[in-house]
Amino acid sequence: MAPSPSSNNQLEAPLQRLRGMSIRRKLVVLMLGIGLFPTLIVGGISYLTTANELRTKTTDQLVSTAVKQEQKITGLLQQRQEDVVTLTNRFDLQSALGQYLASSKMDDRSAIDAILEDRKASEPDLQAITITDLNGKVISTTSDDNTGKTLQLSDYALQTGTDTSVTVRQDPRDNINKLDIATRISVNKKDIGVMLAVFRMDDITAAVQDYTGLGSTGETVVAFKNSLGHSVSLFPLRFDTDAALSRQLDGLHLFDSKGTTQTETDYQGHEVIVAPRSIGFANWVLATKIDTNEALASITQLRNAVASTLLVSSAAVLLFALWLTGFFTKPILYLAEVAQRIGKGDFAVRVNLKRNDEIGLLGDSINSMGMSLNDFVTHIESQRNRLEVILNTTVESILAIDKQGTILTANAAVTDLAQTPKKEIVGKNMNDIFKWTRELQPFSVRYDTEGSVVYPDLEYVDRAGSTHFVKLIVARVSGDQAQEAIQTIVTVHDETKTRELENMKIDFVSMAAHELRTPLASLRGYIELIAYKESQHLNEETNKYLKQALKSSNELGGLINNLLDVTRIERGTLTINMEKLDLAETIAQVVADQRFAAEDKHITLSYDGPANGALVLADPIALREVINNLLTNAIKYTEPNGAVHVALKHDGEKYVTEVRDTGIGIPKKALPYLFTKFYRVHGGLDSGSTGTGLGLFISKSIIERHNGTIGVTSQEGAGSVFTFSIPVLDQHQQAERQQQDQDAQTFIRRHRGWVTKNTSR
Amino acid sequence: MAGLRKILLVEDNLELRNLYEIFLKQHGYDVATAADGEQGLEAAKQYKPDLIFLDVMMPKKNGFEVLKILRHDPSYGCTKTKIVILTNLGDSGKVSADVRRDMDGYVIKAEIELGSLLEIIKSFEH
Repeated sequence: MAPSPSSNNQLEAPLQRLRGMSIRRKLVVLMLGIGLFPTLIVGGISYLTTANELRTKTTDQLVSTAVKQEQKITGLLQQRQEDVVTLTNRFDLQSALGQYLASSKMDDRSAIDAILEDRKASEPDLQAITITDLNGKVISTTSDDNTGKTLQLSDYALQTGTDTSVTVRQDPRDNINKLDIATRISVNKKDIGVMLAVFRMDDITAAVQDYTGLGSTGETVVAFKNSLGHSVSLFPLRFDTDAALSRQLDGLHLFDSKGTTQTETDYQGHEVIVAPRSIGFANWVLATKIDTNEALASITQLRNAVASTLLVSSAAVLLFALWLTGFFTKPILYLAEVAQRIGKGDFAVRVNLKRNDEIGLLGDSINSMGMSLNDFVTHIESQRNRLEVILNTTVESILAIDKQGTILTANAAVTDLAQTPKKEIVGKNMNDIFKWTRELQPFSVRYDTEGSVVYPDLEYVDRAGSTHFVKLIVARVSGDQAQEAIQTIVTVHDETKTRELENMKIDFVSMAAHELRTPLASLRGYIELIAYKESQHLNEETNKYLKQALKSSNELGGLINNLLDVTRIERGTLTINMEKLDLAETIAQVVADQRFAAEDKHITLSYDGPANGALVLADPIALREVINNLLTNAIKYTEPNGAVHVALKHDGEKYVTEVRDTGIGIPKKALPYLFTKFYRVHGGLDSGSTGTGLGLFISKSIIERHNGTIGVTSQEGAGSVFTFSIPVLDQHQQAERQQQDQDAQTFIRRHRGWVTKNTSR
Repeated sequence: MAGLRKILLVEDNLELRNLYEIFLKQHGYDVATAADGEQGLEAAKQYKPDLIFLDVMMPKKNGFEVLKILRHDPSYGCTKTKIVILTNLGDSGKVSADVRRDMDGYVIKAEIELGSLLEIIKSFEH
């Protein structure tokens, strides 16, 4: 028993989706959050703290280096300055200068030159010494080419108002930075001249570049502002033009420095940390700086360490979360899968978890559900099998079809009927497999009717060519419009065998009746012969006997005729020869015929109705037989001194004939069977009544052939009323009948037992 | 058509044949008889009857075959002779149109009184 596929798909899709999403993903995200949040906080705080410490330490180191540089360079500069000042204070120089200035000619400066030369010789860094008077006029110099410049510098030195001016310049001759120290020469607090000493700066440069603990990008830059206000870089020299230098140094904002360190962008575009130190007397700024990247390299390392720790712990938490959630969700998915398989009809599958927790309990529940389902389905299956056995052993062919007429299932009898394997029937359309005929004409059956419809007297020719006589019952069982829903049950009742038996019976009765007729005709004939020939010579008693023999043989003939009529009705070969007939006349004749029989029993027989003029279309012999039959019965079942009353009424489109008696009546339970074949109310051999039980059956058939109806009402002990009605002959029928009568003029005489034409040959 | 005197009775049942012969002779008719179809044909040729009562169910040739031959073969001289079928079937509906055309009437043997035979003969005389 396969479950319908649609219901399964409905279940499969969400399960498929769940494998991707679900509680598990949510749990993993939650656990990652829980696991990583503290790590993130702790890592972040410790990182920030450590980074701050490192930054402070770096700054401190930078500042201390800057301070050391400042002290070192300040020392060197002060030493130079002191050297020059010491020279100006030398007594021999002051006295030589005094003498020179005091002499009128002022041409003997050899003593001054000697002192200066001597001094220069003893100081390798000292490149030149020049002495000017207060007006800037050179008195003595060791250089021969810097007179003009010296003057300028002297002016500058004096103008600055300081005792000593320290300036740096680039010597155009050798492009080397030179240190100019200018100072007043004073004797007894009276300025008498200016000394300008030009020093090489190799030692200062070396000192500037000599620093420790600043890494590979650390350096010290010296800058000052020249007389024009430009920032000028001294060491190391990197740019050719003043403008470039200015840009570089301005970029460092050294002269605006307010704190101990500042972060700037240097000329290379690198971010640097700078610790500026001012050497006030020289108007210098020492900028000791280091690349931030290098300075904070350890911070970066720390950051990386923290990040990788986070990463590793994330991975660990993720793995743990996956494992942990899997621990919960895997069995749930497993249970879902088992439940789904059970849903698909695999009732044998069981949950195998061996757990004592809630999930184990759920698994046990699914197992017991599966077992219950299995029992249930097994039960249904066995019921179904039982039904199937019943269905397949039923002689009736039964087919279930859907609304399109497609055969959904068929029982075994169908296979026999169609002489076709079941698999070639199921799935085909009903109209393709079963082609019905009625009287050999194709007959189409509607399978989509409401309720239940019976189609009697159909024929079906099976594959082997045998004709089956069948009755079809088409029963709508469902209003379900769904595809594959059983909509209609078609039952085919094969009446072939029954009909064969019936035919055999009819044939036998027919043959027997016919065989009886010949000796009967002979018997009657001879009795008549005696009666005709000998009637004058026979005594009254013998005559009476002969009449009785004739009457009995007539009765026997009547019985045989009844049997033959029945066989004709059964075969459908009862011939009704319709002609225009006066029903009133016919009734009157029969009443007259029966009068003697009634009188014999002392029964009053009366007729109420027109004497003639009740025209109908009827078979005179057959109709006469009906009326005769009803009257005979009425007289037979009425006690002496009773009454039988016949009435004829015109009722609209029909004539109603009524035969009313005051007889023994008919039991209520017998009424429904009264007009059926061989039925006798007071049946049985011991009842004392006579009759074949065929009369009413034949009468009903005859009246129906006349498009009429016949019925009975009765009260037991009080009498019965038999009523039949047949249509009034209408104008149209009358005209038609006259035409037919003319056509059939050949048969003019129709008598009981014989017919002749009036044609002359 | 008056004066039907010569009657041929073709009937295989001895009792009935005798009965009808006696009865008809009592009423002054000339009667010849035959006991089967072939005898009937032969008798019709020799006897030249005015009326033939012809049974249906007979040995050798049945009544319908005999009827057909008599009507269509002039050598028997009976193409216009009155022929009344004797039957026990009484189902004229089952009789073919040819038979209905060829015959002049039919008698259901079990249902008629003997006197009907005289009425039948007289019905052709008017």
